[in-house]
Amino acid sequence: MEALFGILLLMALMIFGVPVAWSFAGVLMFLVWAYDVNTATLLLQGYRSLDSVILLALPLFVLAGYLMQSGGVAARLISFMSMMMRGRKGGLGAALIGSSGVFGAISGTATAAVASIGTIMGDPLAARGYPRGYTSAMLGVSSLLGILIPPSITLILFGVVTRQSITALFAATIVPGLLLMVGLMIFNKIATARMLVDTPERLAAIKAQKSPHGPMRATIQAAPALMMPVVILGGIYGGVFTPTEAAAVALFMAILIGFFIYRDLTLSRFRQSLVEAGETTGTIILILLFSFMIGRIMVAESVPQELTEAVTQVSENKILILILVNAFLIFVGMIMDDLSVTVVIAPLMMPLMMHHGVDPVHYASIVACSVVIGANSPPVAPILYMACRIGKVSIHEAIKPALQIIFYVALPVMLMVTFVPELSLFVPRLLGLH
Amino acid sequence: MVEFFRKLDSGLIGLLNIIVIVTSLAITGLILFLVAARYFLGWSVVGVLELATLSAIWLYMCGAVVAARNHQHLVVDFLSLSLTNPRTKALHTFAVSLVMVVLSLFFLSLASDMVAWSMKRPQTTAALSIPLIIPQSAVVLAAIFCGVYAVRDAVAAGFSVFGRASSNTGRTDPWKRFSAFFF
Repeated sequence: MEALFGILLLMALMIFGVPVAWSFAGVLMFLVWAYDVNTATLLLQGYRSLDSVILLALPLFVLAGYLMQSGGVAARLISFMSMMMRGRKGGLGAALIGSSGVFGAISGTATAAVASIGTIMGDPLAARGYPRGYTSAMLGVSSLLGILIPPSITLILFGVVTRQSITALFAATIVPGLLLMVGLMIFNKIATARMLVDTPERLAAIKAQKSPHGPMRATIQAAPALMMPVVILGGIYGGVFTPTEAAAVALFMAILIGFFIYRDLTLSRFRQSLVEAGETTGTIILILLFSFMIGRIMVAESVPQELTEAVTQVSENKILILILVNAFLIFVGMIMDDLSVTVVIAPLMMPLMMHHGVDPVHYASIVACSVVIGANSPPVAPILYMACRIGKVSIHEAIKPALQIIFYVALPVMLMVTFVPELSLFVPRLLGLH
Repeated sequence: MVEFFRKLDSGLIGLLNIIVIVTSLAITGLILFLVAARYFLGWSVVGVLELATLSAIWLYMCGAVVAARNHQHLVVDFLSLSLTNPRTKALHTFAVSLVMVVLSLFFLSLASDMVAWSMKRPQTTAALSIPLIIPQSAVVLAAIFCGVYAVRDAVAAGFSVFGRASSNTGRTDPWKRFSAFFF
């Protein structure tokens, strides 16, 4: 009962506008009072969870994302993708989705993809007749490919909190990520066939935006950027380095490419990226610190076991329980941010899932898919809001296309991932990770 | 007095930025060294990961303070965006900042408990025997400065609600409002 009230309090504090990290502190304070917890070593336990080598991947991937943004990697990727998709109706929309996928395979965050891809592609897409609401909605959903396609910061956090192999989690979401990417491309093809009309303005914009250098130059320029996912993922799955080491290598490559190959990275931009990445990391870590302590109290008070028993008393039907868990994750994602869902709500339901024979690695895929939907579903929709701010459009214009994309693409992908475990388990088993 | 607070603040933020930069580079360098030592030199260097995690704790906590100072902490701004009346908006900001002061004090009390425990049972790292109080002091520092910035914001928000609207003490600079309130 106290735990349920704690979750309600968390939602209330967040909706009231208390920063997410401090909302967690509020719940922690409530739980300390409600369960009469001895606080002598509470923060020490939270500190010990932060003192983790695996968690080192977080600041490194966050910083790599910032450096790719300021070092010109995103611009070259978009130029390459646009060239690949040229000459097709809806091609630039598909380039946005493809760029988000490749960017996700390097940085592991959605916000970096929204900021860099949205800034570069927003105006060219508008000039070609794409409604800004549609562009922002598509950007919002496709940027979350970064959560599914490894490396993924969300999965690193989930793995740290639930003590699962990060490498196996990364492998589990590859197929769901590709499925979402293909689904988005098909949706974009169908939607743009109806939406885009060849007005003189649109044709003029297409003509004006044709690169004078052709596909070869775009490919050569993008080659160093395209090498990054090969090195990162090849290194991890080839057994050359751990995810943490891969993050350091990615960062080193981002520095080299930004300073010496593209030369877009200056010392002042580098310094700025370091500070901004530190801020972002600090924000995430404070949430994680409080959530670790909340998790400790909940485990000590057997809350996950009680939740499992309570749900099992209602039904033992695995399909019904999976549907309920899906619905709950989406609902919670609609009113909370993705981090809260990943580090507090999802781990709470882990024993319930395991009780019903759901593999933890499979469950991680389900959680990641729910984050894609939750981060773009109003009222909170943090990624959709950000995409709208960058796309210079009111949220009201983006809600309808966002809900259409979620309903026709993201939700079916989540259901497929939920009810076909092989989609998540095939790659980890193939690689001998699970 | 405003100048004093502003200088103190800019000095502190400059120092925190330096720590963030140095620790970020240290973590990257140490992990790369570990990879290079293993593959090119065949060495297995003991203690490198301890140094990297120690630097990371300082990076995490200084980053959290910088984010608190710059109001960069993740917020669900659904309610604040839907408030249109300036007075209601100011009251809402004040209420949120008061909640944050209470929660910062709670964080501070947890930090003081941690320090008391660590003093009673001093511990060191396994490989390099670095006293754990060194990384733990970063957490204490974060608790103190998050509290300081929460108080600053609460006072500034309180001044916006209860202060004179035509005051010439400045409506945007939180330090100016903080100083005007107390001095």
